[in-house]
Amino acid sequence: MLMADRAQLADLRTAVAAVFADALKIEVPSHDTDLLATGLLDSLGFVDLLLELERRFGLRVAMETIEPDNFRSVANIAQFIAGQRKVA
Amino acid sequence: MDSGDPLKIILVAEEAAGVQALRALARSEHRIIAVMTAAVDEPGRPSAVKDVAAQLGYATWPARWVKDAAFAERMLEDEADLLLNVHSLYLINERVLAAPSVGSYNMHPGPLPRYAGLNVVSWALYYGETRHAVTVHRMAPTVDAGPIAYEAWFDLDDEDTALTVSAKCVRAGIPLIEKLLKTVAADLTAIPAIPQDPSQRRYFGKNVPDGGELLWSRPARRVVNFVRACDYLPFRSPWGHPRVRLEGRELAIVKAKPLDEAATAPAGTVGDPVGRAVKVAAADRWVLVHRLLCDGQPQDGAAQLRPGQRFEEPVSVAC
Repeated sequence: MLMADRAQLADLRTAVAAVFADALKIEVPSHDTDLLATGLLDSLGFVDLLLELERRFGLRVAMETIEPDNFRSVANIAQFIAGQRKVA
Repeated sequence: MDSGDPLKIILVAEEAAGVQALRALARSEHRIIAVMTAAVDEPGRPSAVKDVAAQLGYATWPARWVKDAAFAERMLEDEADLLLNVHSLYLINERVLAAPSVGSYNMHPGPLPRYAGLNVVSWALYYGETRHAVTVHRMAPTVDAGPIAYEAWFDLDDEDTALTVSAKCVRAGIPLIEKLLKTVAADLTAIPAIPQDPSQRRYFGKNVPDGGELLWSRPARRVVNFVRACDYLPFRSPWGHPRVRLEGRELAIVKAKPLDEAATAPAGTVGDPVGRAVKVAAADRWVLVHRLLCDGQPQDGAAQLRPGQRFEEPVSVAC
């Protein structure tokens, strides 16, 4: 991975963590915490997360394409956003 | 209690809806006697309600106590004014229902009396409803049959899934609980109590439509409605996902949407891939199958299905 990509990913992780803290009021212990298995992200939180991702990152996630693993951790979400930006 | 006094409330709650109700009560001036949830006597079971209640410093009791008439005595000793039930499925003993001085109220994720019982969000999507509601009603011995205090309606769109509709119910329902609390605090006698018309009642039990089997011989919109009704992804679906059979294998359709294109093959025939998805003929139009489960593992539609294959139609469908 290029240095620039690594830096961008690190920034995205920080930004996603901020979404959880500020908008969703969820304190996530680490960027690799399993949000689904731990119950930190519940059904309402997940829907709110999608809305925030759209609002903050311009990411429109079609419900018919949702992959659970893309939302399993802050790191995974950041990776997903980075991937979507490359495709766009 | 006198109007204006803080209420003493027992909250019986589960799931995300229960957490939101708990937070709303915590923000209010009312006193929570205890939060009752199933996980209290199930160590190791993750429970956001239990965790949030503990963080906020509330007593937590096992939800199953509500089934026991003796619990009514405890409520009387604690001078409970209100019991609020949010997404807990325990049948509450009649004496327990009657114990609080104001009453026992339930937040139900569906319009009443037409959608009483279990998994009504899924049933509404299955039947292709374009509007849905959340209801706060006084609890009666018959499930979901008590007089209605408040209801809030909202639109459903073609992209809604069981998950998004459940979220809509919570967002619309919590303000109704807050309204109930305000009304009680101001004037006990002012709580609306609109009787339900029993002739309109439809009660849904634990059964899954069509025995959980998908029928490609139905119109595309109906096929996709069933898929959406089962879609709580990334969370577990109480209905599982609609099952199909192909060349002796059982698969399940997880994500799909109807296309505007008329089907040009018999129902159940696999058509061309479209990116990672694949077309399957329904009775009238093609359905685009994005994701399916194969041996329990999620797969892209195009990865598992080949043009020309044809799904088997179920021999008989359990209703």
